[in-house]
Amino acid sequence: MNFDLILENRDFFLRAAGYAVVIFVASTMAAMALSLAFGSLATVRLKLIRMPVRIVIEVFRDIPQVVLLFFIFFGAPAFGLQLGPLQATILCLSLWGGANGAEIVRGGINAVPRHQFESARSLGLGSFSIFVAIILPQALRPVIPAYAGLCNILMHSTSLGALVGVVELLKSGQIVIDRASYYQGGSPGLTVYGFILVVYFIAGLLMNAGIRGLERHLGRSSKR
Amino acid sequence: MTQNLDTAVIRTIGLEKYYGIHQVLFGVDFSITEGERVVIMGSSGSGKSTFIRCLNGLESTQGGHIQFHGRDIEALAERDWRPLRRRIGMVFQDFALFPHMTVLNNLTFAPVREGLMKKAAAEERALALLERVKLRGKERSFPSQLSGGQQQRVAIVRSMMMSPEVMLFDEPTSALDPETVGEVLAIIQDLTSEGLTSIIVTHETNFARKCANRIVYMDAGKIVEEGSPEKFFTSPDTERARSFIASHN
Ligand SMILES: Nc1ncnc2c1ncn2[C@@H]1O[C@H](COP(=O)(O)OP(=O)(O)OP(=O)(O)O)[C@@H](O)[C@H]1O
Ligand SMILES: [Mg+2]
Repeated sequence: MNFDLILENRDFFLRAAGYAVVIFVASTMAAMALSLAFGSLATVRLKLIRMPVRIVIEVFRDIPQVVLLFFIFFGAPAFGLQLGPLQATILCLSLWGGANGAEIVRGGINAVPRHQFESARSLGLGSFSIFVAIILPQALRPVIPAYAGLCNILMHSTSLGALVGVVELLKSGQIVIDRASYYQGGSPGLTVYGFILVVYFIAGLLMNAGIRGLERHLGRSSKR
Repeated sequence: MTQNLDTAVIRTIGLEKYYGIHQVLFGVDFSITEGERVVIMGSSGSGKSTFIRCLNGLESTQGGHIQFHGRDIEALAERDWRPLRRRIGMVFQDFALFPHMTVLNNLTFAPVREGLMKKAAAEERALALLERVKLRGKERSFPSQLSGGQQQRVAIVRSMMMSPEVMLFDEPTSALDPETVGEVLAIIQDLTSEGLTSIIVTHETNFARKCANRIVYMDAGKIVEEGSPEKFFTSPDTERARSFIASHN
């Protein structure tokens, strides 16, 4: 195995990892905002709001990420939108993650016992205060594991960017392999993909440890 | 309107309630004057909970009137119910404390959020009330760390924080272990003995005998009998009430 190859391309891989991080962070943030907004709207009493929101959520959940990505990347110009590969990937993962996250949030909200809402109401609290300070905290804590699973998928899915030309980790690996086999002969595929695998593995490990830490922290503060 | 002559704090006139097409209250006429303690009794499904939930706007009504100090309130918008709910406190069967907040935060959250009290003042009042219900020292605990009886006492204090004029209790001891029923009833008796107007739905006949100024007996969505505890428990007028009392002794 040729570890020098990794070291020689250090900066190239670093920049690629940077793209992966940008895709992940941007789409996770956007997905979180969408999850909260749409997940909440999907539980309102007013059917006129709830139904369309639930339909939108369902549609985006039912489309495979790759199909959605190609549709956005190749279809955007038809809607007068010019999206670069990076933007298209972020938008795709934000929408997909937002829809799946919204479903998780909706489930969490619906699982909060009805009497919580009523006892808060009987204290004269307004709907907004009740939702933000009473319902949401109780709704979100138990869905953290499910949401963490979603974040894991989003992290893995950053590699989809390779399909539309984002030079993220996977794509950088392909490029390095191509270059190496052209100039030096023989394929260093095992080394390069092995390296990428380890990078993803470590990133995932760190993220999950962080989430477990968060859960422990929240668990300690409520002792439920 | 005989607003100024009417001494009732809360009065209902021909109150009707439907769940969908299913009628649950069939014209309830009720009133309570200041400082009175009324116990509502009746078999399961007779509409006791529904009735008192209507009194603080947790349920909409479809006919009749609810008056608070002589003013019709049954048609108020949700926004206008909110200030009223602070004056009409409610305690539920299942406590319904906020599990993610400490006891102290459970008590201070609403009055501080609603701008009724500054945080320091609210905490001071909360601690004084906790002392009164013998829970001083539990203010940093979470609800799940308390027994059912302790949780219900906190829930009562939570309503008292808003300094209500009227308290509604919906079977406050039904979800408790028999050993802790007494401590909660004692608290209710203590708080209401100072003339806090209260409506208490309960199956505890001993408590009703001792504590109530008046018993209201509901059956099938109507008040079929009311009177003093002595009268109600010894010589009720209706056959329904008689068999109810027989089965609850
Ligand atoms: N949310 C609801 N939707 C439909 N029907 C309801 C609802 N709540 C209560 N009911 C019905 O209304 C009637 C009165 O119920 P309510 O809970 O007021 O009785 P209750 O006297 O409090 O009984 P219990 O002693 O069991 O608490 C019952 O027939 C019940 O099935
Ligand atoms: Mg009931």
